[in-house]
Amino acid sequence: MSRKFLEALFRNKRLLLLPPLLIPLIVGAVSFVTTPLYYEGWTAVWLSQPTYLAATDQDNRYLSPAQNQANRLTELLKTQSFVTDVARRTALAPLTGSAAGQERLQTLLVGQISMQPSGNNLLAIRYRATSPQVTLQVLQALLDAYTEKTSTDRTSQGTLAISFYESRVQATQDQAKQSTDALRRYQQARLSIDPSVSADLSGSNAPATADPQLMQLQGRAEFDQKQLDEARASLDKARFQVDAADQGQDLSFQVIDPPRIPSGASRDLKKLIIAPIAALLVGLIGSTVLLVILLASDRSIRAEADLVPPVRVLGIVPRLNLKRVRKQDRSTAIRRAIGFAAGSTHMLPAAQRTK
Amino acid sequence: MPTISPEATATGLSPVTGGLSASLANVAEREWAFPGADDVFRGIYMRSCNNDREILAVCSAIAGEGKTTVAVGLGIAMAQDFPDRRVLVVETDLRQPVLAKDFDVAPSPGLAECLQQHLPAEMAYRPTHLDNLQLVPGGAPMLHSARLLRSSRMATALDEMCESHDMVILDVPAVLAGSDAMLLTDVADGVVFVVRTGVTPMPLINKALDQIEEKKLRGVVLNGSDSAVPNWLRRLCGF
Repeated sequence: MSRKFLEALFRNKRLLLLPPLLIPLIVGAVSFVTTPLYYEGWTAVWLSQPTYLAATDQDNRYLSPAQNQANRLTELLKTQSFVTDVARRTALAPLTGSAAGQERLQTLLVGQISMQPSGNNLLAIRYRATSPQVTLQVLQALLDAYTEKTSTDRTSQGTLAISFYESRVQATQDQAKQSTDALRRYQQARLSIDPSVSADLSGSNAPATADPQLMQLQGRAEFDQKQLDEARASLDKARFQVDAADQGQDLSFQVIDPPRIPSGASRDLKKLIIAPIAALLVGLIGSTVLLVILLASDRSIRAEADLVPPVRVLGIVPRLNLKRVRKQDRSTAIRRAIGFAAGSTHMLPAAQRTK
Repeated sequence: MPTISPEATATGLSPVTGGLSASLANVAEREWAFPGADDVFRGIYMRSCNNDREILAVCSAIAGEGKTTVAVGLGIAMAQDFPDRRVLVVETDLRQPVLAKDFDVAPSPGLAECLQQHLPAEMAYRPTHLDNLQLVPGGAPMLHSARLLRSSRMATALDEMCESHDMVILDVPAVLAGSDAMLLTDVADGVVFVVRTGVTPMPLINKALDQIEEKKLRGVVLNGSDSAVPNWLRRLCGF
């Protein structure tokens, strides 16, 4: 079987080579012609976390700022509201009005954006479209929409934090006031009972240690005061962050290379490569099928083993190989060879050729 | 000068005798034709001939399989190996005789004329450079050859040939082309069946073999054998 297979393979090698060569060639040419030209633009953003801004809960501490922002931007692009927000700032705005347009936006906008974090802080955002203007518009709109969204989020988070810390300060303030009042009342009560302790109450520790209740009230007042101080510090910090959010946004999201109008058009290299490769595979499959068909349809005899039922083989006469003879000498050589058996006849006089 | 058919010139091979006679033109040319041509035909006749004197028919399923090549090759090999044995190669394809043309000998009187005009068979003998090898061309082409071959004159002619020669090799027409082959294989002592490799389908071969008497069939000669597989790969695969 392997002999027949190899024979069929090598005997028809030119025919079998045609599909894997011809199909990729045709598909490659068609793919090159039909693949649309596109304009790719890009922008580079420097991302960092300013030291005076606390990390938000949205950031993964184990990832770089560039990776965090890339993840966030990717997530946002999965939301229809953000995509619509971006599209409304560009020439793609008419597509936002319909459901079909929204689906088209997924292809035209979301499908064409790619983000590539480079190092810890650099994020390259690429976008391509059939028009250079749209490319520029989308990249710019993406940056604007993202910056606005981030800033808004930070402000709203900060406002919430201030509100929370204000209420907490108020609560701890009340608590501290109560404990201070309780201590003052206790001290006044003791003075009224025993005026001799006034000196001790003013500073010495000995009476306090001697009076556990006084010691407890003092401790409580100190603790509440400490809680109040911490709450006030948190409130101040929250206020600071809100105030610094806008400025901080500018520092943490710096557009280093702003988007520009792409100067030249290019084709989708992936499509240009994948199409011929796929065609090559199809060609190989086609050749295999062709080989199987040739193998199955060849019912001729090529060797003794092909004779079914087996018949005694007397001999095998090989095919004449004239490759070694020069082309211009072949006909002469064949004539000489054919004339061999009758050679002597030719040399005989014509009268003697026939008896 | 001998002539060659346009087909033979175009393909570089004579469909009838090119391969064989090229191999035997002279010692030097044997090698470029195919190495060991002598051994091939010697092997064929040693396996196919049972007696010193007999009629051997060389036939095939369809035309163009190399019957004449094998027939003449057998004749030459026998004549060379046994100088004391007289060998005769007879072309019995009276419909499409080619031997005279390919070997540039006078076509008439050939076998057909001998049978039609009741001429002695020896009138059709053509000498070769081998003293003990002679050829009988078919003669002028004729459509209804079966009637002649079936005639008693054919039997007489064969008797004459057998009397004057030790070995008579009949170059018989294709078995599936008509009834001529059947008549001739019946009168032969043995039949050599020629198959051109890569051309004749197995069903046709079986159909032709069914028409040949089994006990007379000496065996099959595979003609034009050629492998497209590179030698190194054949050695690697062991075939």
